[in-house]
Amino acid sequence: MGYLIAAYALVMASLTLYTLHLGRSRRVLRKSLSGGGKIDAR
Amino acid sequence: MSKLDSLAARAVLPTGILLAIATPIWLWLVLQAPLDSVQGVVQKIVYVHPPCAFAAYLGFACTAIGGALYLWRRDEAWDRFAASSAEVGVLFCALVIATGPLWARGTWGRWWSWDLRLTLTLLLFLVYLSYLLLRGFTEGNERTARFAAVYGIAGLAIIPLNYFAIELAGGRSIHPENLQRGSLGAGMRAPFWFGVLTALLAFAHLLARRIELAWLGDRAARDAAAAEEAASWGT
Amino acid sequence: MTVLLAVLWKDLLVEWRSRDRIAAMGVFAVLVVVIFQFAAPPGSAPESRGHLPGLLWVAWVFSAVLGLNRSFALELENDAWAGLALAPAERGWIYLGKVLASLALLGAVQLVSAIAFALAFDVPLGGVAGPLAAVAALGAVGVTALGTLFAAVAARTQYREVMLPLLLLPLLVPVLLGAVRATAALLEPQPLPWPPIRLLLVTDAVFLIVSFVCFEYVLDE
Repeated sequence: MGYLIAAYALVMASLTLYTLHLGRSRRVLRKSLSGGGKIDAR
Repeated sequence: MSKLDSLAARAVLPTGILLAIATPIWLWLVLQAPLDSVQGVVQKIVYVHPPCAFAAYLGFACTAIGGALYLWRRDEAWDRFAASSAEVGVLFCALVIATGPLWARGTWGRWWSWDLRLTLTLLLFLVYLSYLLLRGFTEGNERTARFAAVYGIAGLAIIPLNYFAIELAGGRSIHPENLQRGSLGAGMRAPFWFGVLTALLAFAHLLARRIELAWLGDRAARDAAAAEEAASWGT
Repeated sequence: MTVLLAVLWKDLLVEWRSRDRIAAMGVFAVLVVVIFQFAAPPGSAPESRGHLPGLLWVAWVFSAVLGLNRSFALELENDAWAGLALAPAERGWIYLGKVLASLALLGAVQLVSAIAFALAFDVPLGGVAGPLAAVAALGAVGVTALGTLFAAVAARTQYREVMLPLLLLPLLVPVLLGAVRATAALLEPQPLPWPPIRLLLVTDAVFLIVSFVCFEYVLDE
Protein backbone atom coordinates (compact mmCIF):
# COMPACT_ATOMS: atom_id res chain seq x y z
CA MET A 1 0.00 0.00 0.00
CA GLY A 2 2.84 2.31 0.86
CA TYR A 3 4.37 1.86 -2.57
CA LEU A 4 1.07 2.73 -4.20
CA ILE A 5 0.68 5.95 -2.26
CA ALA A 6 4.33 6.84 -2.81
CA ALA A 7 3.93 6.44 -6.57
CA TYR A 8 0.78 8.56 -6.81
CA ALA A 9 2.13 11.18 -4.43
CA LEU A 10 5.37 11.42 -6.39
CA VAL A 11 3.62 11.90 -9.71
CA MET A 12 1.02 14.38 -8.53
CA ALA A 13 3.44 16.38 -6.40
CA SER A 14 6.16 16.73 -9.02
CA LEU A 15 3.75 17.69 -11.79
CA THR A 16 2.03 20.22 -9.53
CA LEU A 17 5.34 21.70 -8.41
CA TYR A 18 6.50 21.99 -12.00
CA THR A 19 3.26 23.73 -12.99
CA LEU A 20 3.66 26.18 -10.14
CA HIS A 21 7.28 26.80 -11.12
CA LEU A 22 6.26 27.56 -14.69
CA GLY A 23 3.51 29.88 -13.46
CA ARG A 24 5.88 31.77 -11.21
CA SER A 25 8.49 32.14 -13.94
CA ARG A 26 5.84 33.49 -16.28
CA ARG A 27 4.74 36.10 -13.74
CA VAL A 28 8.33 37.25 -13.22
CA LEU A 29 9.01 37.55 -16.94
CA ARG A 30 5.76 39.35 -17.72
CA LYS A 31 6.48 41.98 -15.09
CA SER A 32 9.81 42.81 -16.65
CA LEU A 33 8.60 42.98 -20.23
CA SER A 34 7.25 46.10 -21.91
CA GLY A 35 3.62 45.74 -22.88
CA GLY A 36 3.10 43.20 -20.13
CA GLY A 37 4.30 40.38 -22.33
CA LYS A 38 0.95 39.84 -23.93
CA ILE A 39 1.47 37.25 -26.58
CA ASP A 40 -0.27 39.30 -29.28
CA ALA A 41 1.53 42.56 -28.59
CA ARG A 42 4.54 42.68 -30.87
CA MET B 1 5.93 35.82 -33.46
CA SER B 2 4.74 32.58 -34.84
CA LYS B 3 1.32 31.02 -35.06
CA LEU B 4 2.73 28.16 -33.04
CA ASP B 5 3.64 30.42 -30.11
CA SER B 6 0.25 32.12 -29.99
CA LEU B 7 -1.45 28.74 -30.30
CA ALA B 8 0.51 27.53 -27.29
CA ALA B 9 -0.33 30.61 -25.24
CA ARG B 10 -4.01 30.30 -26.09
CA ALA B 11 -3.96 26.59 -25.22
CA VAL B 12 -2.82 27.10 -21.65
CA LEU B 13 -6.23 27.91 -20.22
CA PRO B 14 -8.36 25.32 -22.03
CA THR B 15 -5.91 22.49 -21.37
CA GLY B 16 -5.69 23.60 -17.77
CA ILE B 17 -9.45 23.49 -17.37
CA LEU B 18 -9.73 20.09 -19.03
CA LEU B 19 -6.94 18.78 -16.83
CA ALA B 20 -8.60 20.14 -13.70
CA ILE B 21 -11.79 18.30 -14.67
CA ALA B 22 -10.10 15.08 -15.76
CA THR B 23 -7.87 14.61 -12.72
CA PRO B 24 -10.54 14.10 -10.06
CA ILE B 25 -12.52 11.86 -12.42
CA TRP B 26 -9.41 9.76 -12.99
CA LEU B 27 -8.69 9.53 -9.27
CA TRP B 28 -12.27 8.48 -8.62
CA LEU B 29 -12.01 5.80 -11.33
CA VAL B 30 -8.78 4.58 -9.76
CA LEU B 31 -10.42 4.29 -6.37
CA GLN B 32 -13.38 2.46 -7.88
CA ALA B 33 -11.23 0.06 -9.88
CA PRO B 34 -11.36 -3.56 -8.81
CA LEU B 35 -8.46 -5.08 -6.90
CA ASP B 36 -6.19 -7.38 -8.79
CA SER B 37 -6.42 -10.91 -7.45
CA VAL B 38 -2.70 -11.59 -7.84
CA GLN B 39 -0.98 -8.33 -6.98
CA GLY B 40 -3.45 -6.68 -4.66
CA VAL B 41 -3.72 -2.96 -4.24
CA VAL B 42 -0.20 -2.18 -5.55
CA GLN B 43 -1.40 -3.13 -9.00
CA LYS B 44 -3.21 0.20 -9.12
CA ILE B 45 0.09 1.80 -10.03
CA VAL B 46 -0.89 0.65 -13.51
CA TYR B 47 -3.13 3.70 -13.69
CA VAL B 48 -0.21 6.10 -13.31
CA HIS B 49 3.00 4.38 -14.50
CA PRO B 50 2.15 3.52 -18.15
CA PRO B 51 0.25 6.82 -18.66
CA CYS B 52 3.44 8.69 -17.76
CA ALA B 53 5.27 6.50 -20.26
CA PHE B 54 2.87 7.55 -23.03
CA ALA B 55 3.66 11.17 -22.23
CA ALA B 56 7.41 10.52 -22.07
CA TYR B 57 7.52 8.92 -25.50
CA LEU B 58 5.17 11.51 -27.00
CA GLY B 59 7.47 14.14 -25.56
CA PHE B 60 10.49 12.77 -27.32
CA ALA B 61 8.63 12.36 -30.57
CA CYS B 62 7.63 16.04 -30.35
CA THR B 63 11.22 16.99 -29.60
CA ALA B 64 12.52 15.15 -32.63
CA ILE B 65 9.75 16.29 -34.98
CA GLY B 66 10.01 19.87 -33.74
CA GLY B 67 13.72 19.76 -34.44
CA ALA B 68 13.22 18.37 -37.91
CA LEU B 69 10.65 21.07 -38.65
CA TYR B 70 13.09 23.66 -37.40
CA LEU B 71 15.75 22.41 -39.80
CA TRP B 72 13.23 22.53 -42.62
CA ARG B 73 11.49 25.83 -41.87
CA ARG B 74 14.16 27.66 -39.85
CA ASP B 75 11.40 29.07 -37.65
CA GLU B 76 12.58 29.52 -34.04
CA ALA B 77 9.11 28.65 -32.85
CA TRP B 78 9.78 25.02 -33.76
CA ASP B 79 12.95 25.06 -31.73
CA ARG B 80 11.02 26.44 -28.77
CA PHE B 81 8.53 23.63 -29.29
CA ALA B 82 11.29 21.03 -29.37
CA ALA B 83 13.13 22.38 -26.32
CA SER B 84 9.94 22.73 -24.28
CA SER B 85 8.83 19.25 -25.20
CA ALA B 86 12.18 17.87 -24.06
CA GLU B 87 11.91 19.55 -20.69
CA VAL B 88 8.36 18.39 -20.04
CA GLY B 89 9.06 14.96 -21.49
CA VAL B 90 12.13 14.32 -19.36
CA LEU B 91 10.02 14.94 -16.26
CA PHE B 92 7.47 12.34 -17.30
CA CYS B 93 10.30 9.97 -18.23
CA ALA B 94 11.83 10.37 -14.78
CA LEU B 95 8.44 9.61 -13.25
CA VAL B 96 8.19 6.38 -15.25
CA ILE B 97 11.60 5.30 -13.99
CA ALA B 98 10.70 6.25 -10.43
CA THR B 99 7.30 4.55 -10.31
CA GLY B 100 8.43 1.38 -12.08
CA PRO B 101 10.69 0.21 -9.25
CA LEU B 102 8.00 1.16 -6.72
CA TRP B 103 5.63 -1.18 -8.53
CA ALA B 104 8.22 -3.90 -8.87
CA ARG B 105 9.29 -3.71 -5.26
CA GLY B 106 5.69 -3.77 -4.08
CA THR B 107 4.91 -6.77 -6.24
CA TRP B 108 7.90 -9.09 -6.41
CA GLY B 109 10.24 -7.52 -3.93
CA ARG B 110 12.97 -6.40 -6.35
CA TRP B 111 13.67 -2.76 -7.11
CA TRP B 112 15.13 -3.23 -10.56
CA SER B 113 15.26 -5.83 -13.27
CA TRP B 114 16.55 -5.26 -16.74
CA ASP B 115 13.27 -5.97 -18.41
CA LEU B 116 12.54 -4.70 -21.88
CA ARG B 117 10.23 -1.75 -21.38
CA LEU B 118 11.86 -0.27 -18.33
CA THR B 119 15.34 -0.56 -19.86
CA LEU B 120 14.08 1.05 -23.05
CA THR B 121 12.68 3.95 -21.04
CA LEU B 122 15.90 4.27 -19.06
CA LEU B 123 17.82 4.58 -22.31
CA LEU B 124 15.32 7.19 -23.49
CA PHE B 125 15.95 9.07 -20.26
CA LEU B 126 19.70 9.06 -20.92
CA VAL B 127 19.14 10.39 -24.42
CA TYR B 128 16.87 13.11 -23.03
CA LEU B 129 19.59 14.09 -20.57
CA SER B 130 22.25 14.22 -23.26
CA TYR B 131 19.92 16.32 -25.40
CA LEU B 132 19.42 18.81 -22.57
CA LEU B 133 23.14 18.88 -21.80
CA LEU B 134 23.90 19.54 -25.46
CA ARG B 135 21.49 22.47 -25.42
CA GLY B 136 23.07 23.77 -22.25
CA PHE B 137 26.64 23.59 -23.46
CA THR B 138 26.24 25.00 -26.94
CA GLU B 139 26.64 28.69 -27.47
CA GLY B 140 24.47 30.69 -29.80
CA ASN B 141 20.76 30.23 -30.28
CA GLU B 142 20.92 29.24 -33.90
CA ARG B 143 23.69 26.71 -33.46
CA THR B 144 22.00 25.24 -30.38
CA ALA B 145 18.79 24.82 -32.30
CA ARG B 146 20.54 23.09 -35.19
CA PHE B 147 22.62 20.75 -33.04
CA ALA B 148 19.69 19.89 -30.81
CA ALA B 149 17.54 19.13 -33.84
CA VAL B 150 20.14 16.71 -35.22
CA TYR B 151 20.50 14.99 -31.86
CA GLY B 152 16.75 14.75 -31.44
CA ILE B 153 16.41 13.04 -34.81
CA ALA B 154 19.20 10.59 -34.00
CA GLY B 155 17.64 9.93 -30.60
CA LEU B 156 14.26 9.14 -32.12
CA ALA B 157 15.80 6.75 -34.65
CA ILE B 158 17.41 4.88 -31.79
CA ILE B 159 14.17 3.95 -30.06
CA PRO B 160 13.10 1.12 -32.38
CA LEU B 161 16.71 -0.05 -32.65
CA ASN B 162 16.99 -0.22 -28.87
CA TYR B 163 13.78 -2.19 -28.67
CA PHE B 164 15.18 -4.92 -30.89
CA ALA B 165 18.58 -4.72 -29.27
CA ILE B 166 17.29 -5.24 -25.77
CA GLU B 167 14.99 -8.00 -26.94
CA LEU B 168 18.01 -9.65 -28.50
CA ALA B 169 19.92 -9.39 -25.25
CA GLY B 170 17.07 -11.32 -23.67
CA GLY B 171 15.17 -8.54 -21.99
CA ARG B 172 13.56 -10.65 -19.39
CA SER B 173 9.91 -9.93 -19.72
CA ILE B 174 8.81 -10.06 -16.16
CA HIS B 175 7.32 -6.68 -16.90
CA PRO B 176 3.85 -6.56 -15.46
CA GLU B 177 2.36 -5.34 -18.73
CA ASN B 178 2.86 -8.74 -20.24
CA LEU B 179 0.72 -10.24 -17.60
CA GLN B 180 -1.53 -7.23 -17.58
CA ARG B 181 -2.39 -7.02 -21.25
CA GLY B 182 -4.29 -10.22 -20.86
CA SER B 183 -5.60 -9.37 -17.45
CA LEU B 184 -6.50 -5.70 -17.81
CA GLY B 185 -9.87 -7.14 -17.16
CA ALA B 186 -13.29 -5.92 -16.32
CA GLY B 187 -13.36 -2.51 -14.72
CA MET B 188 -9.69 -1.83 -15.38
CA ARG B 189 -9.80 -0.57 -18.93
CA ALA B 190 -11.66 2.64 -18.18
CA PRO B 191 -9.35 3.94 -15.45
CA PHE B 192 -6.34 2.87 -17.52
CA TRP B 193 -7.28 4.72 -20.69
CA PHE B 194 -8.65 7.63 -18.71
CA GLY B 195 -5.29 7.73 -16.98
CA VAL B 196 -3.59 7.89 -20.36
CA LEU B 197 -5.92 10.73 -21.39
CA THR B 198 -5.20 12.62 -18.17
CA ALA B 199 -1.45 12.19 -18.61
CA LEU B 200 -1.62 13.44 -22.18
CA LEU B 201 -3.69 16.43 -21.06
CA ALA B 202 -1.12 17.15 -18.38
CA PHE B 203 1.61 16.90 -21.01
CA ALA B 204 -0.25 19.25 -23.34
CA HIS B 205 -0.91 21.77 -20.60
CA LEU B 206 2.68 21.77 -19.36
CA LEU B 207 3.98 21.94 -22.91
CA ALA B 208 1.78 24.93 -23.70
CA ARG B 209 2.96 26.71 -20.55
CA ARG B 210 6.58 25.91 -21.26
CA ILE B 211 6.41 27.15 -24.87
CA GLU B 212 4.80 30.39 -23.72
CA LEU B 213 7.54 30.80 -21.15
CA ALA B 214 10.21 30.13 -23.78
CA TRP B 215 8.71 32.75 -26.06
CA LEU B 216 8.60 35.26 -23.21
CA GLY B 217 12.22 34.46 -22.42
CA ASP B 218 13.29 34.99 -26.00
CA ARG B 219 11.34 38.26 -26.12
CA ALA B 220 13.08 39.42 -22.94
CA ALA B 221 16.48 38.50 -24.32
CA ARG B 222 15.73 40.36 -27.56
CA ASP B 223 14.55 43.43 -25.66
CA ALA B 224 17.66 43.36 -23.50
CA ALA B 225 19.92 43.06 -26.53
CA ALA B 226 18.10 45.87 -28.32
CA ALA B 227 18.31 48.12 -25.25
CA GLU B 228 22.02 47.43 -24.96
CA GLU B 229 22.60 48.29 -28.59
CA ALA B 230 20.59 51.49 -28.33
CA ALA B 231 22.55 52.47 -25.24
CA SER B 232 25.86 51.88 -27.01
CA TRP B 233 24.92 54.31 -29.78
CA GLY B 234 24.54 57.02 -27.16
CA THR B 235 28.23 56.73 -26.24
CA MET C 1 33.17 11.09 -54.95
CA THR C 2 36.48 12.84 -55.52
CA VAL C 3 35.72 14.92 -52.43
CA LEU C 4 35.44 11.76 -50.39
CA LEU C 5 38.76 10.46 -51.61
CA ALA C 6 40.38 13.83 -51.11
CA VAL C 7 39.23 14.11 -47.52
CA LEU C 8 40.12 10.49 -46.80
CA TRP C 9 43.56 10.87 -48.33
CA LYS C 10 44.23 14.12 -46.51
CA ASP C 11 43.23 12.75 -43.12
CA LEU C 12 45.21 9.56 -43.53
CA LEU C 13 48.25 11.42 -44.84
CA VAL C 14 48.21 13.84 -41.93
CA GLU C 15 47.81 10.92 -39.58
CA TRP C 16 50.68 9.05 -41.22
CA ARG C 17 52.99 12.00 -40.78
CA SER C 18 52.36 12.47 -37.07
CA ARG C 19 50.78 9.17 -36.07
CA ASP C 20 49.49 10.87 -32.92
CA ARG C 21 45.87 9.74 -33.11
CA ILE C 22 46.60 6.12 -33.83
CA ALA C 23 49.32 5.94 -31.21
CA ALA C 24 47.03 7.35 -28.55
CA MET C 25 44.18 5.05 -29.55
CA GLY C 26 46.37 1.98 -29.73
CA VAL C 27 48.12 2.51 -26.44
CA PHE C 28 44.83 3.30 -24.77
CA ALA C 29 43.12 0.15 -26.03
CA VAL C 30 45.99 -2.06 -24.92
CA LEU C 31 46.08 -0.29 -21.55
CA VAL C 32 42.39 -1.00 -21.02
CA VAL C 33 42.97 -4.66 -21.72
CA VAL C 34 45.88 -4.75 -19.28
CA ILE C 35 44.02 -2.87 -16.58
CA PHE C 36 41.09 -5.24 -16.84
CA GLN C 37 43.50 -8.10 -16.44
CA PHE C 38 44.44 -6.69 -13.06
CA ALA C 39 41.02 -5.40 -12.11
CA ALA C 40 39.15 -8.58 -12.91
CA PRO C 41 41.55 -11.47 -13.47
CA PRO C 42 39.54 -14.25 -15.06
CA GLY C 43 39.82 -17.69 -13.65
CA SER C 44 39.71 -20.58 -16.02
CA ALA C 45 36.09 -21.32 -15.15
CA PRO C 46 33.75 -20.42 -18.02
CA GLU C 47 31.47 -18.34 -15.79
CA SER C 48 34.15 -15.83 -15.03
CA ARG C 49 35.03 -15.43 -18.69
CA GLY C 50 31.51 -14.32 -19.65
CA HIS C 51 32.41 -10.67 -19.46
CA LEU C 52 35.36 -10.89 -21.80
CA PRO C 53 33.57 -9.95 -25.03
CA GLY C 54 32.04 -6.90 -23.36
CA LEU C 55 35.43 -5.92 -22.07
CA LEU C 56 36.96 -6.07 -25.52
CA TRP C 57 34.23 -3.84 -26.91
CA VAL C 58 34.56 -1.37 -24.05
CA ALA C 59 38.23 -1.04 -24.91
CA TRP C 60 37.39 -0.52 -28.59
CA VAL C 61 34.57 1.96 -28.02
CA PHE C 62 36.54 4.15 -25.64
CA SER C 63 39.53 4.04 -27.88
CA ALA C 64 37.30 5.08 -30.78
CA VAL C 65 35.96 8.02 -28.77
CA LEU C 66 39.52 9.08 -28.08
CA GLY C 67 40.30 9.07 -31.78
CA LEU C 68 37.03 10.68 -32.83
CA ASN C 69 37.64 13.58 -30.48
CA ARG C 70 40.58 14.45 -32.68
CA SER C 71 38.75 13.84 -35.91
CA PHE C 72 38.00 17.50 -36.49
CA ALA C 73 40.80 18.85 -34.37
CA LEU C 74 42.93 19.90 -37.29
CA GLU C 75 40.15 21.87 -38.89
CA LEU C 76 39.39 23.57 -35.60
CA GLU C 77 42.93 24.41 -34.65
CA ASN C 78 43.96 25.75 -38.00
CA ASP C 79 40.84 27.79 -38.65
CA ALA C 80 40.02 25.48 -41.51
CA TRP C 81 36.46 24.99 -40.34
CA ALA C 82 35.15 27.59 -42.73
CA GLY C 83 36.88 25.70 -45.49
CA LEU C 84 34.85 22.62 -44.65
CA ALA C 85 31.63 24.54 -44.34
CA LEU C 86 32.05 26.48 -47.55
CA ALA C 87 33.13 23.51 -49.63
CA PRO C 88 30.94 23.54 -52.71
CA ALA C 89 30.70 19.79 -52.83
CA GLU C 90 27.96 17.82 -51.14
CA ARG C 91 28.96 17.90 -47.48
CA GLY C 92 27.88 14.32 -47.13
CA TRP C 93 30.98 13.24 -49.02
CA ILE C 94 33.17 15.09 -46.56
CA TYR C 95 31.36 13.20 -43.85
CA LEU C 96 32.00 9.84 -45.52
CA GLY C 97 35.65 10.66 -46.05
CA LYS C 98 36.03 11.41 -42.36
CA VAL C 99 34.21 8.22 -41.44
CA LEU C 100 36.46 6.10 -43.62
CA ALA C 101 39.57 7.69 -42.17
CA SER C 102 38.41 7.04 -38.62
CA LEU C 103 37.41 3.53 -39.63
CA ALA C 104 40.89 2.83 -40.96
CA LEU C 105 42.48 4.00 -37.73
CA LEU C 106 40.03 2.11 -35.56
CA GLY C 107 40.49 -1.04 -37.59
CA ALA C 108 44.21 -0.98 -37.07
CA VAL C 109 43.75 -0.42 -33.35
CA GLN C 110 41.21 -3.23 -33.15
CA LEU C 111 43.68 -5.62 -34.71
CA VAL C 112 46.52 -4.77 -32.35
CA SER C 113 44.35 -4.77 -29.24
CA ALA C 114 42.68 -8.04 -30.23
CA ILE C 115 46.08 -9.67 -30.24
CA ALA C 116 46.87 -8.17 -26.84
CA PHE C 117 43.50 -9.37 -25.59
CA ALA C 118 44.07 -12.89 -26.87
CA LEU C 119 47.42 -13.04 -25.14
CA ALA C 120 46.34 -11.45 -21.87
CA PHE C 121 43.25 -13.58 -21.38
CA ASP C 122 44.41 -16.70 -23.13
CA VAL C 123 41.61 -16.61 -25.65
CA PRO C 124 42.22 -18.54 -28.85
CA LEU C 125 41.17 -16.12 -31.56
CA GLY C 126 42.97 -17.77 -34.44
CA GLY C 127 40.12 -20.03 -35.48
CA VAL C 128 37.52 -17.29 -35.51
CA ALA C 129 39.69 -14.52 -36.90
CA GLY C 130 37.62 -14.03 -40.05
CA PRO C 131 34.16 -13.79 -38.47
CA LEU C 132 35.61 -11.78 -35.60
CA ALA C 133 37.05 -9.29 -38.05
CA ALA C 134 33.63 -9.00 -39.68
CA VAL C 135 31.93 -8.33 -36.35
CA ALA C 136 34.66 -5.88 -35.40
CA ALA C 137 34.18 -4.06 -38.69
CA LEU C 138 30.39 -3.91 -38.40
CA GLY C 139 30.62 -2.53 -34.88
CA ALA C 140 33.32 -0.07 -35.91
CA VAL C 141 31.13 1.25 -38.72
CA GLY C 142 28.33 1.94 -36.26
CA VAL C 143 30.64 3.71 -33.85
CA THR C 144 32.42 5.84 -36.43
CA ALA C 145 29.28 6.65 -38.42
CA LEU C 146 27.50 8.31 -35.53
CA GLY C 147 30.74 9.30 -33.86
CA THR C 148 31.91 11.42 -36.76
CA LEU C 149 28.62 13.32 -36.84
CA PHE C 150 28.79 14.03 -33.12
CA ALA C 151 32.49 14.81 -33.24
CA ALA C 152 31.59 17.71 -35.51
CA VAL C 153 28.85 18.74 -33.07
CA ALA C 154 31.00 18.36 -29.97
CA ALA C 155 33.83 20.32 -31.56
CA ARG C 156 31.63 23.41 -31.49
CA THR C 157 30.47 23.12 -27.89
CA GLN C 158 32.02 23.89 -24.56
CA TYR C 159 33.73 20.91 -22.89
CA ARG C 160 34.09 19.25 -26.25
CA GLU C 161 36.09 16.23 -25.08
CA VAL C 162 33.41 15.36 -22.54
CA MET C 163 30.56 16.21 -24.87
CA LEU C 164 31.38 13.56 -27.45
CA PRO C 165 31.08 10.50 -25.18
CA LEU C 166 28.02 12.06 -23.51
CA LEU C 167 26.29 12.38 -26.85
CA LEU C 168 27.54 9.19 -28.42
CA LEU C 169 27.41 6.49 -25.77
CA PRO C 170 23.67 6.46 -25.07
CA LEU C 171 23.06 5.99 -28.75
CA LEU C 172 25.56 3.14 -29.16
CA VAL C 173 23.51 0.63 -27.18
CA PRO C 174 22.21 -1.28 -30.23
CA VAL C 175 25.70 -1.47 -31.70
CA LEU C 176 27.19 -2.69 -28.45
CA LEU C 177 24.48 -5.22 -27.73
CA GLY C 178 24.69 -6.71 -31.20
CA ALA C 179 28.48 -6.69 -31.34
CA VAL C 180 28.99 -8.15 -27.87
CA ARG C 181 26.43 -10.85 -28.49
CA ALA C 182 28.06 -11.85 -31.75
CA THR C 183 31.55 -11.74 -30.24
CA ALA C 184 30.43 -13.80 -27.25
CA ALA C 185 29.05 -16.46 -29.56
CA LEU C 186 32.31 -16.55 -31.52
CA LEU C 187 34.36 -16.97 -28.37
CA GLU C 188 32.28 -19.94 -27.16
CA PRO C 189 33.12 -21.06 -29.88
CA GLN C 190 29.96 -21.14 -31.90
CA PRO C 191 29.16 -20.25 -35.47
CA LEU C 192 28.23 -16.63 -36.08
CA PRO C 193 24.58 -16.13 -35.10
CA TRP C 194 22.38 -14.19 -37.49
CA PRO C 195 20.16 -12.01 -35.21
CA PRO C 196 22.95 -9.83 -33.79
CA ILE C 197 24.51 -9.46 -37.23
CA ARG C 198 21.14 -8.40 -38.62
CA LEU C 199 20.80 -5.86 -35.81
CA LEU C 200 24.26 -4.50 -36.56
CA LEU C 201 23.53 -4.24 -40.27
CA VAL C 202 20.26 -2.39 -39.71
CA THR C 203 21.78 -0.12 -37.08
CA ASP C 204 24.78 0.70 -39.26
CA ALA C 205 22.51 1.52 -42.18
CA VAL C 206 20.29 3.78 -40.06
CA PHE C 207 23.30 5.53 -38.52
CA LEU C 208 24.99 6.12 -41.86
CA ILE C 209 21.84 7.46 -43.51
CA VAL C 210 20.83 9.73 -40.62
CA SER C 211 24.37 11.08 -40.24
CA PHE C 212 24.89 11.56 -43.97
CA VAL C 213 21.70 13.58 -44.22
CA CYS C 214 22.22 15.58 -41.03
CA PHE C 215 25.87 16.37 -41.51
CA GLU C 216 25.26 19.52 -43.52
CA TYR C 217 23.20 20.94 -40.68
CA VAL C 218 26.10 20.46 -38.34
CA LEU C 219 28.68 22.45 -40.26
CA ASP C 220 28.26 26.12 -39.47
CA GLU C 221 27.72 28.50 -42.26
